[in-house]
Amino acid sequence: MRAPILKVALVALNIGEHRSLALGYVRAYAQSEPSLAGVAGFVTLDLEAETDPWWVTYRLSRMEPDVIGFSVMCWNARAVYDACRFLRLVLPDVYIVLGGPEVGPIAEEVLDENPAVDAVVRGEGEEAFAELLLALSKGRSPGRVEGVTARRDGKIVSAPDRALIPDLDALPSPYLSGALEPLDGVAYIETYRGCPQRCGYCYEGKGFGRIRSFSQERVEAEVAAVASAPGVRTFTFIDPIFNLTRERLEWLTALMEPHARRGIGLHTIEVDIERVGAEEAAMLRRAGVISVETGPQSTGTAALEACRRRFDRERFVSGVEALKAEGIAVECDLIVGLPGDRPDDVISGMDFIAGLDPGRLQMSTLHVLPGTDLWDRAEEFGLVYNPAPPHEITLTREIGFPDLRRLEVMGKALMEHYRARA
Amino acid sequence: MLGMQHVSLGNGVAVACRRCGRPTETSYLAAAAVKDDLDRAHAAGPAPTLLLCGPEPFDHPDLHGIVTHAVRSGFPRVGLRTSGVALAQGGTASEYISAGVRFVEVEMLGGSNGSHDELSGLAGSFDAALAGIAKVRAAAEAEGVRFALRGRVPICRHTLQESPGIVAVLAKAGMSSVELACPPNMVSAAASEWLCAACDTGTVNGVWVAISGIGPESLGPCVLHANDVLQPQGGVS
Ligand code: SF4
Repeated sequence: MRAPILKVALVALNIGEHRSLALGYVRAYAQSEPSLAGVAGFVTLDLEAETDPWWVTYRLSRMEPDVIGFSVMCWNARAVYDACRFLRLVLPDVYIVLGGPEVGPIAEEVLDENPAVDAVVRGEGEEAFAELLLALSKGRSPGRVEGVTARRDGKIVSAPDRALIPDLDALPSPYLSGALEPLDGVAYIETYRGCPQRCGYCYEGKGFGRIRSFSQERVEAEVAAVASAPGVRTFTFIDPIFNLTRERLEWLTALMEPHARRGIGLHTIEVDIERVGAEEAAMLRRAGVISVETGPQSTGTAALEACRRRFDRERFVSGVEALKAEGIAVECDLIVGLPGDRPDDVISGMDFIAGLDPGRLQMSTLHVLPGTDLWDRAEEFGLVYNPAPPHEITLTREIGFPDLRRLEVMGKALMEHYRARA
Repeated sequence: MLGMQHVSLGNGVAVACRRCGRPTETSYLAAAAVKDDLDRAHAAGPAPTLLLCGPEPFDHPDLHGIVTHAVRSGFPRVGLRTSGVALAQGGTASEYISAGVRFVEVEMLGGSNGSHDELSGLAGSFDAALAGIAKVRAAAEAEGVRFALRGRVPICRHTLQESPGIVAVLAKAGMSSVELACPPNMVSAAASEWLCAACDTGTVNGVWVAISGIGPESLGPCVLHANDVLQPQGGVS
């Protein structure tokens, strides 16, 4: 058989043992694209974000790829940029493409600041990346591919945005296609894209707005494949809201129940806890849910308003209690540094979540992410953040730099003391 | 935040500043009496954290039985306030981690062996305390249990200026938080400066430093440090 024209390496620098679902989708789509058959061959490299960029470069240089695609998030962006710089030195002719929520919304800046990078895929990457490969294979400029920003004749050019993929079933499943192997604890299934909420710090609701779902048949086939994969005891759904609707929850419960009876568990499912009552909690238990993740992110009225989040204290408490009664651990998350929150609001939030004794507390610092409402309105809200990734908040109108750092340390101590239990 | 019930093992304290002339006499309650107190504390609604305090716990003749009783009663976090010295000895650290201790609060008076040993009147106690802290951390790690450490500095005019150094040492030793326990009369601009320096030392080293005993109005720019992640809640002492 003829060797493919393009050797494509897809690289993710992950947290711990995680595997990039995004690259699984990108690879599954490109591999199934008839126009790329015999044109491109793929290899995926999942490494840890702490991996020395020289080692990343070494691994990739040994593969002698023609194209390297990185999945970029705020927390691995610096590592990716370092690796790109070294790769350019070692592989001067390789074509380097970045994609992901960290780079898509600021594609031109990323190319401007990172001369080693050739192109950025904006928004959903599956179709755009496949077309970019096709353009490269034909010697055409990827800068004309919709949803791509690239260098052309020494300039940075952005082709028009690409419309969202209307029918998600058109995307081959990473698991069913073999592009991604389901591994215990780090396999994720997505049943829909988009989010009905519009939280100001999140790109999900803003970037992908409208909800698009995979068909039930498709999800059922993926669940069957993942839940029966050798060695898999737990996995998760990465849907922004698992209990999006009552009907959906009933369907997913019925789908998961037989697997749960065999001991398969679901961890860190994101739920809208204010819509969890005794019945919903019982359903989640039957679905094999071990732990859920939820807000409130803040309990301060001004911050909730600025971030367009609703919070009903009573409903929140009753949701946590309902889940605890079913033996499901709840992770309550708070973000330090939201606009509108004063130090007392953050401390009240800590008091609130600690008082719930939910099972796990998670305090994090606001990252003002490209493509989010807070990124766009930072000046209006008086947010000062690190322009370099991961874009941590530095000070807000309500909280100065020293107090933000103090609150972070206080939050860390709370988490550590909370975790230490029989 | 996390409520903490104090249950005392007797009269006296684990570590006292000798220069202040505080009485160093200690006496212990019988195990049965402590267990009764534990039962009462539990019946009052168990706080998330239980701290066995008072005189040096490891000198109590039935500490193991008391800890076991507390764990069996259902306190989710059983803690000990100690000089830390005994934790360095033999298998003590492992024994108490196995018994269910999930929280140790170590009292320090100085940030070096010279100052701590002199103020506590116990030669070698600074090095022994650090060795004990390292040992109990290792024991928790070996058992795979989730465990937290906290420092406590009984502030007096002799320990005040030591406090930034103590916090630095405790941060390096792996504490999650440090309490600077002040007497109510410790209100002066100079005192606040030292306390703030200790708080800042904690912040830059990632350890929360809480000031207790004096009102937030005396803390100036460090007013946030009037907040503690562990808060006294209806103890029996
Ligand atoms: S934070 Fe969650 S609920 Fe809010 S927009 Fe993002 S995905 Fe949706």
